Amino acid sequence: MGNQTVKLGDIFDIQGKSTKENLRVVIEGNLENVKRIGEKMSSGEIIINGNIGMHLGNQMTGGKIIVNGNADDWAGAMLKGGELEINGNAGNYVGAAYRGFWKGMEDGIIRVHGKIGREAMLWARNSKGENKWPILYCNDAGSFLGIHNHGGTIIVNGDTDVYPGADQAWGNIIVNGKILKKLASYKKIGEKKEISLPNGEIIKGNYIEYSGDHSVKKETNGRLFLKL
Amino acid sequence: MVDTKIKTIYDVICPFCGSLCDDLEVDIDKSTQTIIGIRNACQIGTAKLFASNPSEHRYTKPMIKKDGKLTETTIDIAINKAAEILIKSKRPLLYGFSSTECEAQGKGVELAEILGGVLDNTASVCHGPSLLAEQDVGVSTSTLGEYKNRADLVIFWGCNPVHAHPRHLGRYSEFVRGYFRKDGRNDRVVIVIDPRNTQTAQIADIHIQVNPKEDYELLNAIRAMVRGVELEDDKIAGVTKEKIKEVIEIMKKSNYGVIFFGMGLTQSSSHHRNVDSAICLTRELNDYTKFLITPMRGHYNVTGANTVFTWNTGYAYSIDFSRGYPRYNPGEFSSVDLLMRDEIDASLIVASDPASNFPADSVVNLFKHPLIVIEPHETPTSAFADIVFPVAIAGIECEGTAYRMDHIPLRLRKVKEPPENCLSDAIILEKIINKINELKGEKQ
Ligand code: SF4
Repeated sequence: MGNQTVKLGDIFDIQGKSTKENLRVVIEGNLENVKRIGEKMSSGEIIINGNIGMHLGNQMTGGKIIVNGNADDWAGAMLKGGELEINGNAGNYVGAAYRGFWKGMEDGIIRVHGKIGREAMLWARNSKGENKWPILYCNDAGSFLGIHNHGGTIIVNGDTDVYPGADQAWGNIIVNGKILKKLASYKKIGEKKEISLPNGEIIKGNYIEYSGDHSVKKETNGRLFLKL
Repeated sequence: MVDTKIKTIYDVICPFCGSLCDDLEVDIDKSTQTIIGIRNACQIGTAKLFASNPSEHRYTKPMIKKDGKLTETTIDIAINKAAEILIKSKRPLLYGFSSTECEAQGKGVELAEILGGVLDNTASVCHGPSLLAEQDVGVSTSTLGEYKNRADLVIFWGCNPVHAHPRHLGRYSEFVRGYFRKDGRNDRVVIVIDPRNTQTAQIADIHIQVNPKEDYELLNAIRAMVRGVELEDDKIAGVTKEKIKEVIEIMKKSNYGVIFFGMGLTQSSSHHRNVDSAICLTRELNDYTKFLITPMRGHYNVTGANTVFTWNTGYAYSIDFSRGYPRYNPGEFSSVDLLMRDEIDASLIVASDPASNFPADSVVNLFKHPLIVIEPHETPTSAFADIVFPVAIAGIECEGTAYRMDHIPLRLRKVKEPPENCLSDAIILEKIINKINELKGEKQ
């Protein structure tokens, strides 16, 4: 707490046994000021009943975290594997790279059932060789969704704020609602009834297909799909 | 006969804006130690130098709050009290540092480290986004002397130097004659990109009136068009495609271009992403010609604050020492965000006035907790402080080092004696550090 060290037991009532495998932790209460739960987690499960603070599950490599509430900024930042499910809203920089890092989320799945803030999936990066496909599902999204995307997949069930896919080098962004403002550097290339995602998933529906961001490359494999 | 009552000091560096003009001449009345004449400085620089003369707004004695009112005290009592407040605090904030010299900034880092506190400077609310963008995509930059001698295309984006850095145009960027720009203004094309018709725009060759808050769209479109992509829209961010094409032609044909940008980019809605895109544009233009970019830093030594913090901690601003080692994350450890979340329980403000610049809700939280201010003049922040230390003004009443906006370090000069009892920022901070070490030692 601040510059002091306190014992976990002074703040939480703790019950149960610790195990090496399949550890399951349930946390109850208002944890809005508690940061870095599940940081670098590699296996097991954490269930949080309440709101949670910043950096939830950042850099985790495996396991699952479920939040029955809202999460603050940098939820799932630089995720390297595993699954994060947030049943409420999430703050800015969901699955993003930390300041100055050129590789953000590299693998794993983030599902946010509510809204997310600005700059989600910043510098996301896939790896075909290692079969790693970072993917984010959300409802409404804030501005600069998937900025500097290098191979991440984002599926938005609601609307997005301005400039989704800004500076995207490659990757897929699918918007099922409206886009508040699309960048001029995205060009319409046709319509699609079926989108097959790199992880094998197939999405059906009528979509307009845009290529971009052309401010990064003249010819690009970056795609933005907007539902008709 | 020579008047010996007056002393003239030459080559004085102006401690006001990031241009750090180094050619001022200051006349001092030796008996009263007041400034009576200033030559070469602009209006704002002149005002700052004259403001160091005795006035009712200048603190000359340490002050401490008693029964809700600031009353005079001794330096020892004030240092003792300040040390006690800071030791007791679980999350102290040290903020400001941009209008003081590098030695004081170094002491600030030391104090933050021994307290396990948060250290921040004014970049947090001005050019912090430029630093974020530089960390994301790098930056191609140079010094003002290079621009003066070589640049034949100068772009001012979201800044108004006529008002904010008045002598920048005359000394480095617009009217000045350079080694390869012998005809001064006639040898340069000047473009201003700003939603407002500023005085800088009025004396430019081309003024692009971009829609407010849409700079990112324009930058993005320029970058795509530089690559030869034909865009579908006819007008982007309020600017026609033809106009953009014309500007791109000028950029590509120039021999040496520079973009100077200000808070119109860093503090409009897309913040660091505006700068990110402007840097990428600069980088991409280097496929055709030489192009560079430099932020128009405001406070005279905010570049120094970033530099000193970086060489000590690895990070330029928003640094948290609560774990004993420095961690960096603007948005989490930046002053405004910390204050908005009411995480701070005591603050030390050095040479800055957050009460005038921060959002109202954060200022309410700043005033709720103990507040120590090191400041020569009365400000809205110092009016609500629990302890005020009067100081000698760096660059006028004491020496020190400052970094110009292009990272050139210059030695500030002392032109006159400070008022009695006024120590420098660095000495006050050192006294607080010594007191804290002493009190902590006693406790152990
Ligand atoms: S331009 Fe800036 S540094 Fe130069 S005299 Fe004016 S205020 Fe001082």
